[in-house]
Amino acid sequence: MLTDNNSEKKVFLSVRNAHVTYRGSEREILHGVSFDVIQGEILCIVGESGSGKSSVLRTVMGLDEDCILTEGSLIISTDDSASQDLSLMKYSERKKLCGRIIGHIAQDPEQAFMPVRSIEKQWIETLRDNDLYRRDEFKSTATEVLKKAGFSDPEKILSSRPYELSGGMRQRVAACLEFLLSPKLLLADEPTSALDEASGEKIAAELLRLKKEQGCTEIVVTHNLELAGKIGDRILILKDGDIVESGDAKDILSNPKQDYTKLLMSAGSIEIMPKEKKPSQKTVCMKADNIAMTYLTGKNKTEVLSDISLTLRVGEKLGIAGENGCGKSTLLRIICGLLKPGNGTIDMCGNKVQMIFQSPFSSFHPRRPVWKSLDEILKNVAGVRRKNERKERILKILDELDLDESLMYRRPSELSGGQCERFAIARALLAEPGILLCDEATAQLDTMTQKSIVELLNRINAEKKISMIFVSHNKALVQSFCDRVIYMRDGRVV
Amino acid sequence: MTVNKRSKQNKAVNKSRKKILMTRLYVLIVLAVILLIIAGIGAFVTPNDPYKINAIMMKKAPSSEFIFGTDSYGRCVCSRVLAGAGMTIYGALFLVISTATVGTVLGTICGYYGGVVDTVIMRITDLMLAFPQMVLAIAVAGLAGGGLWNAILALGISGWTLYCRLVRSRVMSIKHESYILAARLSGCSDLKIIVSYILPMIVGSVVVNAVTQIGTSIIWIAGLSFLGIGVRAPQAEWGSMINEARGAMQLAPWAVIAPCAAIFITVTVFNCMGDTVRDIAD
Repeated sequence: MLTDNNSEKKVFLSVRNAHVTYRGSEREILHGVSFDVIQGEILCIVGESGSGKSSVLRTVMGLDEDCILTEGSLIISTDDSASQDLSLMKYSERKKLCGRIIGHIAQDPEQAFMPVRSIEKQWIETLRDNDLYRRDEFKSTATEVLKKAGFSDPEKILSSRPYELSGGMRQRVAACLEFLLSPKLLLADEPTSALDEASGEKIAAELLRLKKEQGCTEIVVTHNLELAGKIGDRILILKDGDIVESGDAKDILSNPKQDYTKLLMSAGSIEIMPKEKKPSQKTVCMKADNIAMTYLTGKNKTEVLSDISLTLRVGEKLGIAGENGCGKSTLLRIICGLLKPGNGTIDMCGNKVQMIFQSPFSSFHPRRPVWKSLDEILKNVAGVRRKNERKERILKILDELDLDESLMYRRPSELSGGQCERFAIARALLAEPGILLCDEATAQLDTMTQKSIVELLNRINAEKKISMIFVSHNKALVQSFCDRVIYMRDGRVV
Repeated sequence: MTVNKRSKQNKAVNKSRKKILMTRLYVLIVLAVILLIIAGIGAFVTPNDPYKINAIMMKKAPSSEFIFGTDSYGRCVCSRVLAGAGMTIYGALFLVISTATVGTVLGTICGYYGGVVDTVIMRITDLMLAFPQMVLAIAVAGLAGGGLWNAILALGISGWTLYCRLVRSRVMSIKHESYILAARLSGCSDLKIIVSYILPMIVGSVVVNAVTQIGTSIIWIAGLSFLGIGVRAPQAEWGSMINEARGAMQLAPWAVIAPCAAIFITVTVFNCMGDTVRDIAD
């Protein structure tokens, strides 16, 4: 049994000298990282995009065969068995640990579920695989855990398919499944990044409840220092694959010793600055009247949007804020023409519209290098026929967005979140849009990258006079970035 | 950097598992290619005339002249096995490729566009799947008359439904992905999205299923021929050879064993290949 040298607390997981790299890459992601996780504690790993936070979780999980532990050990010590080194176990043995012993809340909620099967069926399947399914208790337990996560209609969520839920709702549902499984070690990768404040607090409360009531040990990866302070017992600050600082959560937040930690803390706060009053533009570039949208699921009708009218003026930044599932993304998809509204009209006034999606990684083809997407949009939308001219324009926009040319030959999984987001912005800008729609464009990024992306969007708006609709659940961010904000709830403007 | 011995051992275990699978796949591919070559040139390299009736040499045991012996008509069993390989194997390959292609096209249309087209095609698949495939094939082949092409038609009538359903469900899950929406906003046509974005993501599943189906198709074609509604005598085909020889099995068991062994070996090679491709994909 492992014990912490300095106290009698039992060490649940001991990571020693972990060197991690990815298949096909010579670059080392983690450089000899060592840390202990005490049984029953919540360890928060904080760092910016590309620091290796998610790689720590992938290494502990051991199911991603592209994530290779080249050196080091991962000793786990559960009550039921003697200490085991996870790095020595076979893939099949590590797979058996997943579910009851090690649970995982993935960063990208789009990848967590099979899109065409109902949530209920997928939950039952997972519980059955872990020998936790009890037919007579399932419905009551499932609805209870969904209610605690903030869902007002758990029955509807259970009968829904993942593609019928918003990104934030999927993230909550993924977290709820882990709460049902109650693993001994829970690995949560940005569990609240796509959630609004209220939903994020509910998930944070559930993470704390799991720890207090069931003694669950948790490793929570987040870029949100506020969350880390709220739920974490200890914090680990990671930068470029090295631990910069670690210690008690309250100590680090109240008295950070390292400069990098101080920098992270300053980037985390978004100040609402009094904005310069812009001369009001009278020219309208987009008008939406009485937009309504209803989804049909079997015999059930769900009214997603009801009587939405809004106007966007040239050069304006319009913010749309609201809770998860209020219809923000659906409204954006209707505006850009990806969905047809059930009712209402949209007049784009001759402007081209482009969108930046919620998950930058998922908005590029997983197997193609990103330059192909940029090339395609230049050919199809901007009408540039000559290959050389397309390449010149791509290199020019990459230079404007501080992206190195070599990055465009990589696949999205080989880029960091911030780099991928910049490529998504580059792709949108190459189409020379008059209107840019940002659907939670910064939700899945760390605070420092968020700040740089927001500054970039500000620059684009100022220099190119591109009107923007910025959707986010983060009210503070929307208020600080946008000229005007509308709030949505349950498919309506409030 | 010195590599920790334990990590190296673990890495080696994972690497060897993949190496074993790849080695197995290469061996099976080589065997499959050999079978395909035999099927292609078999009819031209027979030791004897596969159709020559020889009343003196009826039901002769294997010898140096007749390697697998002779059947009830004195025909060389080895020559007939070689001559029949082409019909059986290439017939099965044609069946699999055609059903996979038709199923993939229809499944993609259903999954991508949905609506009335999806409803109609799915009801047709339900109709096809309401009947056991072999029973339906027997009925159709019986009505259409014998012959290899009628047997392929009979088996193909419901064979495409497997691929159609598989592809439809995969396309339905992929079309909601953000990169597909981004492709639509990038001005890509539906055809471009289907061909460049969606099909590459599903072709792996289709290939795995198709390879696994080759063995099954060989058995089906041989089965129809055995029942007398596929390839008919005197045409050399493994199933019809078994049908012809079973009456004299006690006197000339080699006439049954040889085509049975040929079917067994061929089906095993293709089934193992399908399983290995699936294991690698997993």
